Amino acid sequence: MEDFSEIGTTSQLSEVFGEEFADAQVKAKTSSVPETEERVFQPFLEVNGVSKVFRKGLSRFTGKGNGVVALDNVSLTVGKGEIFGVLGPNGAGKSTLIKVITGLVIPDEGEVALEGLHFRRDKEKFMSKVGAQIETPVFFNKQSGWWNLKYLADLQGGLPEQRIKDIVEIVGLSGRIKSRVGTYSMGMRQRLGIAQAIMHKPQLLVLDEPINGLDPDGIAQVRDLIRQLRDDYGTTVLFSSHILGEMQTLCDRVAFLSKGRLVAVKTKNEIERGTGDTCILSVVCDEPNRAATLIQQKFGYRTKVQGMTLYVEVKGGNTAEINKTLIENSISVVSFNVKTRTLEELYKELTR
Amino acid sequence: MKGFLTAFSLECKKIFSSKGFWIFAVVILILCLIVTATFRTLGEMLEGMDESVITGSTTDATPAQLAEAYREQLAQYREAVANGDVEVKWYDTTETRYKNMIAIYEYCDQHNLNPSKLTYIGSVSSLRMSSADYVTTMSQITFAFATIMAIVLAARTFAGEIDDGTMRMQLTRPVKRSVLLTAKHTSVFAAAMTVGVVFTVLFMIIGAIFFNASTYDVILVDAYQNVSVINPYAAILLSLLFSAVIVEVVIQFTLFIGTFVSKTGALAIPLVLYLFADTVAQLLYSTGLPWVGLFTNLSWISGLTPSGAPLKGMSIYTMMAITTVWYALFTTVNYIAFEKRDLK
Repeated sequence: MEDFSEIGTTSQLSEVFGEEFADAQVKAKTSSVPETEERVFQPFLEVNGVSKVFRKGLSRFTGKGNGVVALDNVSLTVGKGEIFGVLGPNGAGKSTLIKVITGLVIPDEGEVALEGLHFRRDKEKFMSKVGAQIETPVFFNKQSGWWNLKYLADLQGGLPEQRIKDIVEIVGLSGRIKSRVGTYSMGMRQRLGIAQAIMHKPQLLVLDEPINGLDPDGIAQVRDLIRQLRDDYGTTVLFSSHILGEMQTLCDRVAFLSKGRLVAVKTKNEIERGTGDTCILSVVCDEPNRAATLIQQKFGYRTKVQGMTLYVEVKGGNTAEINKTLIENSISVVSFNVKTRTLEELYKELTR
Repeated sequence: MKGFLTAFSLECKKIFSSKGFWIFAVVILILCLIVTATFRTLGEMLEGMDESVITGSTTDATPAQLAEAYREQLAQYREAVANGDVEVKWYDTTETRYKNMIAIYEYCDQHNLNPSKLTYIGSVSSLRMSSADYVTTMSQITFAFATIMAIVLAARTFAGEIDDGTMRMQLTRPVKRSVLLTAKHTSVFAAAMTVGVVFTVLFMIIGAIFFNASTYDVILVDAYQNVSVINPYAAILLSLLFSAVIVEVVIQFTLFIGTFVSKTGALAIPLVLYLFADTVAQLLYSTGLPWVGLFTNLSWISGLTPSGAPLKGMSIYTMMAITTVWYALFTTVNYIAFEKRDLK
């Protein structure tokens, strides 16, 4: 079991990020709002009309010919200080989107901008503000974790050694940092991956499946670290995950991708309220078939009768009106339940 | 520039901190020392023996007489060709060789030089090796291995890192792809050249201590019969320069192959071509496939000897032009393809 008990305590993070992130911290705290209210974010990362087709052979370089559509005209905006999730089934285009944002995949069309910096024109400035962990963290296995971090820090333009030491402590790898990465467990690699992504204090942290391979304690620690980076230091976080619960718990907004297309972007409140304006009404009554006909005629909603239970898919309507209609038409209602869709149901529906 | 220097120093650090590099270097050194011991033993065996017995050269003729002899041979050859007694292929190396020999002996005659005290570039003047002969031979052996090392390093640092995903990690840093590619290329070149040059210097020291100090000047002649004579150590430097060209072209070619195939292919294809392509090309070329000459020939040094390039009839200048065109093609494709490449 991975021991994440040392990951990201407030005091440790403050030591490392504190001074230079003072402004961001003040801004983040000033703008903090109760959980039930929607946060308002300034646009930070903009993805505009990005399309990508993966081709084989020489077509890879010419950009012409048939291939697998990975992204189809995807546009989205991530706010400053926002935790933004990307959700979708395997092959939906999550990783491709993240790789386009980090410059690993070159889009056929569209562009990515970070506070007005366009990736194609200002790659170095753009990437100096980004920290990324893409899929399974990969390092030079024959070298130590420290060697790898130092190598990446130097490639970043140089970081004080003390900063790297502090980050290593934050992710709880102090005891094994001098060991060869080849001897690390999956969880340790993930921790090292997070360390290399945050050590240069990025304004945008991009994490692709950051909790893969972690045990529940590890997941909780990474979640706390992400939240802390955002809440205390204003770091914008974009991450993808298959774990729906994490998305719901952590994200301010979630983008749903399916077959390379962006099908919806939902806020945390929309997800918590039942994912928007659609709910399932289950009514146990004495005349479910007549009730179904009445509802279809008056409201036009889809209905389904199973025994004495009537199911109604209510879109944007007032369920009280339905109850009132049934009573006015002398239908005895035994029970009346409103069931909002879970994130999982929403996920299945949107990515079907 | 700062970004390049940082990336370059990191790539060098990566290479020089890998065990593989040092193992390779030590293996080269051991092989070279075995060859050294063999030469030294041979030298001791030949100690005191008459030079003419060793070289097989017994002529006392003057350069003017030798030039005249070659002029006569050339005239006879031309007559035999005119009569149809000798079949001439589309290239005529015999005529070039005779012309080169005439030019060399005329040069010796004009400059009062003893032709038996001269040698050709890349060859040894005597089996009883002088220190310069020893250094020339060892430098060539070292660079042959250093070039193989360059192929291995280039395949590992480019195709290998794309395969294992570490390239992805590097490219999420604020460094341009072109800068990273240049840094990888130059670091591999620096590593191979370090081995080649350091060992050559080491062999110069060994040569000065254990081999005959008397050296022969080196005569250079191109396909247009331009002749010059240089100091043997200048010839070693020229040989080093030509070796550096081979290393550079081979690295660029390995990166080129790595653009299209995985690490195994990027390792195997350049290695096989480097080891066997010249021989295969010479065979194909001499059996009447002149176009093969467009695909190989990095042995520029042979273009400065009387018998000319391995691909007959080709001058050093043609070889340089062909190499330059290929090199430019590999470089252009490498940079454009890497800029456009997706790292999944």
